[in-house]
Amino acid sequence: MASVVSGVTETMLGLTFSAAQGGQPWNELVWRAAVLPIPGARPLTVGLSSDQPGCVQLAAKMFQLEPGEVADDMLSDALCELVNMTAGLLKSNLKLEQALGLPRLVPSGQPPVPSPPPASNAVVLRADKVGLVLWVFEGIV
Amino acid sequence: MPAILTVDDSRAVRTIVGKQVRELGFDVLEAEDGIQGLQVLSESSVDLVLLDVTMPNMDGPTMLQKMREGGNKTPVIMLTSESKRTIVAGAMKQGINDYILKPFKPEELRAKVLSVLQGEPGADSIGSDAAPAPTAAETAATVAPSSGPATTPAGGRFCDVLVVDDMENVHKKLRSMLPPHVSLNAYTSAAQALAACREKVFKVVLIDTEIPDVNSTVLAQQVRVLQPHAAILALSLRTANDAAGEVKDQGFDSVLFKPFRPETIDDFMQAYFDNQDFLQVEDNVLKMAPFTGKADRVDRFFRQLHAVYREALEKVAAACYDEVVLDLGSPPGEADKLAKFVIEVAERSKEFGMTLSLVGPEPARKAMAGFTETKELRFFPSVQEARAGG
Repeated sequence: MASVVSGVTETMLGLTFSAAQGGQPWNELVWRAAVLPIPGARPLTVGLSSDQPGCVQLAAKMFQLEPGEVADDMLSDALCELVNMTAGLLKSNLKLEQALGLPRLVPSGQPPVPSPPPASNAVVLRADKVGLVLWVFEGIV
Repeated sequence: MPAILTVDDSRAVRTIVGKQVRELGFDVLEAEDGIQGLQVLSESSVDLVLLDVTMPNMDGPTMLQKMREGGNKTPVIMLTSESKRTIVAGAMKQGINDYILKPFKPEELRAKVLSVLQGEPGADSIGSDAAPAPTAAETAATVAPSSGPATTPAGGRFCDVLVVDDMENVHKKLRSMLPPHVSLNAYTSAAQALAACREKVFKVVLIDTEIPDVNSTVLAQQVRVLQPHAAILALSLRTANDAAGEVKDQGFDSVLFKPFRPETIDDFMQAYFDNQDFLQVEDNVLKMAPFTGKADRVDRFFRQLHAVYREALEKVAAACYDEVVLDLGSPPGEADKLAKFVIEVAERSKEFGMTLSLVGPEPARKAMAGFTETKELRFFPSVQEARAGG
């Protein structure tokens, strides 16, 4: 999962993510989240979420700006585009012949897909100081 | 100054694209969806559209369709995370010039934009009329087959095999293992291969599954659209996995394993070139296809020869030649079967009033000298000497 996310972030942001050690909880990394449905024979929902500093870092790199120059709508836009690219790569890896849906934001503070049982469908990733959670749910949320 | 329209619902992508193309010296126009994109096209002069697939309000394929229906032929590069085969194929049928999968590297974007706007050789441009300019390596790997009316010259419109592999050694190795009469074009880049696919007709396309920065599955889809009648095979390393099954899931017809082995090349020939020209006719020369197969296929080889030689002889006789030359090429080692075939050709030639001369390697000469019926036939080391001797 880390390699799928890094497949996007290395190319677009220069960030390489790896799975966080020690079962780090996702609860602090849902300040903002975006999900993208992949409807079809094997429906999937892919999500990405992070905390505020993480979202700022991601957006700053995406827009090639300083963190202080990033507006709030840029945080959402960057997260949505990252989940779009990640879902595209994940779909290719799974060899799914299903069309990507449109990304959308989910309410702040909530996991973007049904979370319980804890962490069963969430992977916490880290790249330097940026924390990111990749969510994959079998079904459309 | 050329203007580029980027149509993408992501402001981030529009920003990245805009930065890259401005650095190339082009103007940038933006639209958030297909509706806005069509509006911009109606109001402004645009030289190239970079078009996302999945967008709200109006998606990329719909915008593209409306552009083409309205007679707008502005070049389009799809820039998207979407790799669904039917969407890719549909876009290609609408005449897109290229397809970039997100995530993308800035240099890839710049190269493809330049390719479309400047017609630079070496970059993708699906639908472009420009023929590819092969690199030195590609020229070296483009090997003309032996001459003859039934051959399919590598430099002409028809070619037997297209190879796409970033390792030039793969081209050379395959060339060395395929029979000379099988024409082959080889390219190190997807761009050149796609350009070739627009210009030529291939019988078999071999695509490496590990080309850097190339999604081989998508490339195979693109080739499939351009070469609907070709067999498309994956070039894959031999692994413990079910590679054959995996590549079929990815849309390939089959797999050819690397490193190449004589038996797999033989199987490849059997599968895709079984109806090869076993006996080519050029003037008064009948040239046998070289035998490259396994020992258990010798009988099949000679059955094919026996089936076609009469018609070949009739062609020579119809051209009023007094002598016919049978070039044995690289025949199988079974002397008795070769002799039987030669005897038949000699007898049939006599019926047409022609005398038969043979051309072939020294082992073949020795073999023919060992049979009463063939030892008196004139034997030459080359066709030129046979013609001079006749």
